[in-house]
Amino acid sequence: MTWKHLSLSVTGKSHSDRNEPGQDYCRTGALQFSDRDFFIGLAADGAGSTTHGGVGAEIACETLYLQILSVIHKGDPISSITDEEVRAWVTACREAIAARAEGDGQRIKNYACTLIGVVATNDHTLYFQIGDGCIVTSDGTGYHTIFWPEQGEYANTTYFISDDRFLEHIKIEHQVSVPDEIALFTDGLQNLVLSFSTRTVHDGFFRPLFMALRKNPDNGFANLATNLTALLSRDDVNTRSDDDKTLILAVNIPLS
Amino acid sequence: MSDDTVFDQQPLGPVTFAENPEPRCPCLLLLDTSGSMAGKPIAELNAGLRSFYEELQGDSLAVKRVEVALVSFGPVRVISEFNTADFFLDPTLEAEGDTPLGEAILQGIDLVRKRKDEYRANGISFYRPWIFLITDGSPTDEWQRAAAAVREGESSKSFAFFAVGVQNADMSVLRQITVRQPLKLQGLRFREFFQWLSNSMKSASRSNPGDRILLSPPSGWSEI
Repeated sequence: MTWKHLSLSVTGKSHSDRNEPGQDYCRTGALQFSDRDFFIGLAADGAGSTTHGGVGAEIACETLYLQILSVIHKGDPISSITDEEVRAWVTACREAIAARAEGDGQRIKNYACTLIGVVATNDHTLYFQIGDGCIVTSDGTGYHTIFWPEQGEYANTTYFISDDRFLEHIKIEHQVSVPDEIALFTDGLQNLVLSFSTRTVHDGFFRPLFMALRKNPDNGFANLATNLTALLSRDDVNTRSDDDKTLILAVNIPLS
Repeated sequence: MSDDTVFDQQPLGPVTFAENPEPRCPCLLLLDTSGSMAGKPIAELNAGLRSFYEELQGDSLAVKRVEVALVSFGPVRVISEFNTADFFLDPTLEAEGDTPLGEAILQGIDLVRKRKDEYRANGISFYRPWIFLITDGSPTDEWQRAAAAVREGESSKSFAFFAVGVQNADMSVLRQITVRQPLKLQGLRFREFFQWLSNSMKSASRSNPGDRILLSPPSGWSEI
């Protein structure tokens, strides 16, 4: 099998109207090591109330990506990664952000961000998350969320990697299988693609996107990404969610 | 032409979005309509209230998200339970009776609690409710229990409670009720107050996860 993937971040109208940069960040990679194929997908959403949330999001994803690469390069199977190890990765991200904050003469709170991640290989998948945003997978029968987005009591609150008690809010799950399709997205999209009253995934969003990604020629990613960016920047979408929107899509293609 | 061809030409044509109820931004107004409000004060309050609803109705997002409840006191009456601004009944408040401020606060907090339960039961997300108390007198009932309920609600972040004193309001009692600094209305500038409130609600109802909701400075209507 091999992984085909696509990722994009669209700056929400709430930021673009004020000429501010987006505060989302994502990092993806499909790699082969020994005889295995890996997909890594990471996304982080810098808190809107902060000055440097976008920087926090970038540091979190890049730090985490390197940590995961080093585990893969050591040849350790994904199934052997313990919850303790995942917490240590996230703690390392937080320390990297704290170091940057200190260098900038800022408090770490100003770099608040959420974090969602997937590491998938031939027969095993690891998922983790802190705060809102969501990971959706398909097993052929339908689409399911791995963790429901963790919001605080109110619509404008959630949990961040910069929180003092961040370790209590890290959710971790292993699956001894690999999904056909994986999507990760930040909270700017969650209200558009999840049904909150029934706590289900809106198939009508994901099914055509995954089909488009599967059909998309390997060298034609730019075109699909451009179309998708245009779709997520549409006025009717911005009316419902003017936040930044990040979407990562990955499909696994069995080798024929 | 096969479906596939259509799909190739418009790869994202079939994409649809989930329908979700808009997150709600509840705001409760506790309005003093005691005898001392008779004449110009009550007329200005009514006019201000009407302009408040008009402002909210004119904002495409706020009209779906902001929910207003009205409780008047002197005696305590629930004029309107929580509703979006398009359900404005345009009540004409009349000044009568005394100032049962304590009872009004307790009933108001109860309305907020019930509304939050309804949101939760229906999978509707919501923002922290705001309660605004507007009074021109001093309480004629026992208000200490209400003050304790306000402090409790503030410390558990169940709601944010603001008090606005009009003309001869007993500001020292208001200071004992709210944990926030009570504000004094300049003259009878109810319209300016409601303009400010609708602007604040419009911006709060647009906030996203991680945003901090800040009230703009109360300029144009308050004495400080």
